[in-house]
Amino acid sequence: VTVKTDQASAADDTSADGLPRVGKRLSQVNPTRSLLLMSAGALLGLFIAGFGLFTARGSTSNAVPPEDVALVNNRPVLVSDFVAQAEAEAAMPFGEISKAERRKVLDSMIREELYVQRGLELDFPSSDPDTRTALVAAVEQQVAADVTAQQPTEAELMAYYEKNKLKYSSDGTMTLHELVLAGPADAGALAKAAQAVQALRAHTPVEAVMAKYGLKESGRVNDGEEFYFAAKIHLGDKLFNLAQALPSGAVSDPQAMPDGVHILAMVKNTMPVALGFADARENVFFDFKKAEEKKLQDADEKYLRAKADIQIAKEYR
Amino acid sequence: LSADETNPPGKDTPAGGPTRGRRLRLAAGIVAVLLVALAAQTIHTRTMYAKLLRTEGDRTELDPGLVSFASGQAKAVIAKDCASCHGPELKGDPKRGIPNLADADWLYGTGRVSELEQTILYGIRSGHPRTWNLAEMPGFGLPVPSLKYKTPPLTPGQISDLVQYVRFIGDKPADAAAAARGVKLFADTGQCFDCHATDGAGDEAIGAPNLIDDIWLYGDGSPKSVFNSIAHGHHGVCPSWVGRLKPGEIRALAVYIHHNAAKAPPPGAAHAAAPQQREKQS
Repeated sequence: VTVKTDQASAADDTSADGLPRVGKRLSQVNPTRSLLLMSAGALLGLFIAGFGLFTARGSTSNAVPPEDVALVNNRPVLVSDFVAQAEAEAAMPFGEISKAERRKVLDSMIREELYVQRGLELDFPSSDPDTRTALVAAVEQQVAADVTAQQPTEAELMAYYEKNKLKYSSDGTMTLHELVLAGPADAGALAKAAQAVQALRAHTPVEAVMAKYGLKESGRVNDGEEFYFAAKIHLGDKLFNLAQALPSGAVSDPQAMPDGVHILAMVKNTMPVALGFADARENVFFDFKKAEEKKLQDADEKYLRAKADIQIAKEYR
Repeated sequence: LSADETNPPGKDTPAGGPTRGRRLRLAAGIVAVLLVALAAQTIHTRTMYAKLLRTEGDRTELDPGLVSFASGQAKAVIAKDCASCHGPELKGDPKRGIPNLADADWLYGTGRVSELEQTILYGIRSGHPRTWNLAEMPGFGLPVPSLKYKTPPLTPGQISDLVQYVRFIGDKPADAAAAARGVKLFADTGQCFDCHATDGAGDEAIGAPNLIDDIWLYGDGSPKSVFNSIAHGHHGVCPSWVGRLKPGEIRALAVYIHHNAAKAPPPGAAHAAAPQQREKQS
């Protein structure tokens, strides 16, 4: 800016016909004009700031990214989600859905986004149990995402299998008779049951022994072949442990129980067999991934706890 | 060359060779051309991605240029992120229950670009709130077959009966008596019909496999393999890629998978109606 003397300035301000020459005047320092311009600038700045602060439109972009169908306060609504939603609502391929129907779906998605944003403003996630559950699941998934996406090598799986070999075996199954001599399990009953056991061990048919000694099927293992877990539930721990050790065709000693004397006659016992890596691979793969996910999630929780300020009331520590 | 562009004899370049200044100009020119080419390539890629995303998913196949572009982009993503499970040719692995994405059989949906895009975005049982997770095969040989459905465990004999029934409806040699017992288990006790449909043809809306074609997601369809599936259950996982891959890459993958997949099922794998259904239809 060239500062001119008042005289020169006055001479410059008017043209030959006496009118002010605007171009020249603009290059001169004019305190009033400066003040006006500064005020206008400040007002414009305040307006822009206020617009940005109090309406989300202030910071919006006019261009919707190609993957989005809309931006709601700069939050994208994916085209793919819109297409899926429209197809689900109209039950027809997207190409066949009318423009009006599409718009209706889009409006409902925009409405949902607006309400979600409002819900976040109102901090509903802190109190709504469903939202909290969904958030916890989403964070867990996000933490474990790398494990989900990456495949372990065969060597890693093999190492895991070797370390946890005992876990991998075929299913044990058994088919047996559980015979009961009902009544108090006194010495007489036990002696009678012992005779029945002798007869069974001598390969007397079960029905004949039942008829002769007054035994009855308990009815708990009458489904035929059962998985070990089912037999354990049906027989209870004590009798199951006894049954598990009986080879096919064997008969147990009489067992005194609260409801009488029990005898187990094992028809077929297929004991679990340790599985080789090839047969166990699918389970090893699943367990390996679960273990890796757990490791990551535990580490994440540890980190979150370490950086959080958690105060627990004295009486609940 | 002007006099100042050639070196005088005895300097650090051969007589008559380009001067240092000229070489610099040449190098700068080459760099400039490379930069322009790079910029042009970037602009082209961005423009194509934008076009790919702006085109309605199921209409992309009408534009060979777009399909070609998508295929080129997708191959790099497949090598990086998909091949470790699905294999470089996307043919899957039935030993691990990984579906073949190159055949015409689709577990979820019908293989349309928009459906594939949703599956890639949110995965299968990935934990993402929008993931596919409606169907889960219970393990009927386990104390608690499923945490999701109230269904009782089955005995090994019942599972064998079901295996025979599955073979029967799939037109495979089967024990008729066992298959007859299996009908009740399929339609009542085991509630198999709820996902696999009353005729066993599955339900692509929830990802329940078709049991009457000859395509097996797990194993080879042998009695042992089907027994294992029923006894132990399955719940394969595909991660969600939203936020991990760019939207354009996801769309490119969906377009490529759709375009690359066979359009007709392999011979003998056509969906066959179950015997009862056929009888009803006839």
